[in-house]
Amino acid sequence: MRRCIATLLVIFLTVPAEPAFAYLKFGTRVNGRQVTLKWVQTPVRYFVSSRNAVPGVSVDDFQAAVGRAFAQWQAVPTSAIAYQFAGLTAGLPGEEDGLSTLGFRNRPELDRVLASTNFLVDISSGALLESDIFFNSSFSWSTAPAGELGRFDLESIALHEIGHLSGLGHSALGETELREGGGRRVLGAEAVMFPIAFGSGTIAGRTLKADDIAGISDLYPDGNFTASTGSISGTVTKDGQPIFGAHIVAFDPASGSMVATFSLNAQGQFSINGLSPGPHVVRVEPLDDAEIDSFFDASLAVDIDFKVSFLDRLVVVAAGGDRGGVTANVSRK
Amino acid sequence: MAAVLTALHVTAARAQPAGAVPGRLEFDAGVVWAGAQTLGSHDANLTTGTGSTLRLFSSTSDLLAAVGFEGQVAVKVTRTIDARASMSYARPQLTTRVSNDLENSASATLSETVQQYLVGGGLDWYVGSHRSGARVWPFIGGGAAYLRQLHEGATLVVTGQAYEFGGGVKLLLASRTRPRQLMRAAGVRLDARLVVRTKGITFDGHRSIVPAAAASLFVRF
Repeated sequence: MRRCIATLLVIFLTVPAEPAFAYLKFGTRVNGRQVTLKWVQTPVRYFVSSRNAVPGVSVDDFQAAVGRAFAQWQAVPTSAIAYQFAGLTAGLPGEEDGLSTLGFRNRPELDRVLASTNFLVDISSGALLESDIFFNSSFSWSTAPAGELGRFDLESIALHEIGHLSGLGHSALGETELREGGGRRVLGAEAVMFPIAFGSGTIAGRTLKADDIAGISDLYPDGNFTASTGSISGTVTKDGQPIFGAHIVAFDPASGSMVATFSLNAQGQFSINGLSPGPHVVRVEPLDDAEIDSFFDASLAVDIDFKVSFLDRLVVVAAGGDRGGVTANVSRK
Repeated sequence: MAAVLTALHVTAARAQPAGAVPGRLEFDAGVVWAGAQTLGSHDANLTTGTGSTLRLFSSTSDLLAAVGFEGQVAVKVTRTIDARASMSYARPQLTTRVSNDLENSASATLSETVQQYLVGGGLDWYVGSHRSGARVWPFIGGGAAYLRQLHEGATLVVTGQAYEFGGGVKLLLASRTRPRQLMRAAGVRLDARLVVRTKGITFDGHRSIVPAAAASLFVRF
């Protein structure tokens, strides 16, 4: 079996400074075809490293916090993903040992990286073999129920990284502002999978949102997911030409929930799955609230030169159906 | 209907039993207006680091007022009570107004067309005592109906119930009382109602109350 550690390295940043490659769902190329990166066998067994505990977070605290985060993903009723704590290990995350390991590592040189997830992929089949999550112990961490001032909430960051471990890429469902000293500050986010963390001391990122739930359910649908939800698909164009990388948000005016995706190819095509049946508002915006390489390979030409706009009509989603052929025309700034 | 009316001899009605509308069977056809139904407001919110919300934009939704068509068949069950079966069809617009966009997108009103069917029945009670040959017949009534609403392109069906209460008048334009003449009367029915809808298109699960008014032509046999 040929093995390699995929070049995928998903980084959760205080501010984006490192390149990353991620889609809404991760993919890898196998024999010239694109394969969605996901676990074939569940439950996904994970280990907790017993090394490198940090001040204020014992190994037991760590195990309990990541256990709560795993449990939240597993509790999504429309998803079939399951996880199992397999025990403690003396290994460290990032070691190619066939074990999916979560733990601390001290990486002071990554001064804007809170945590990251990497994958071991069988490149002959695209199967996921191992995924490790490291938490950067050069930051201060907390597992306190209400959070602690000046410390990052381990459960919140674990929730995000476990989304990656499961195969989810970043979501752009958030708003940021530039900091004076560089980087961005999150004003608000409605997806745990938003690539930039809230600041220290907050536990606001401990709860999965509609966008996360749709994503994990789309990746690991249970028997009812496809029948009980619907999708919107179509194209984003500007001046009659398709555009790549536009961020499309479907808003349910009955519940206030939002699920989003991108136009993901040169034809400007998009598909938003996991939507509740009923009318939806479609909003299209440029990808300008995080570094583009938090979402796409830096070599890809993402168009951000257009105004935020709403589709000129409501789009009705039927249970089990796709409302296709939606064309969203945007105009230059 | 107009042809039927012109074919009638417009003659003074001969003696009728006091308080009884001529004929036993009635057919109505006309238009019905139903008022707007407020569906509610929801903001598209982002969660902030403190756990509060940051509004991305606001939305307010309504099922707009619409005029549709209505048909009824009524049968006299007592001298003053008709039982009726009815069906109506309308195409109201479901609109959502989006505004206050955080990134200054222009406010917009987005819409879709809903096909709405009501199939049900009820009772009309002719109130007051009337002299023979009276041409104005006030009534009050109520009923229940099955509500079926189809979203744009019939892609999604929503069902519910509607309960109607109201009253109105029937204006006899013509009547015939000679033996062996099938058609007994014709006229105009005007009524106003309150319609209580449960389920159907609702964003908050609550029942809604909308006003409605109808005007129709009727013939009685």
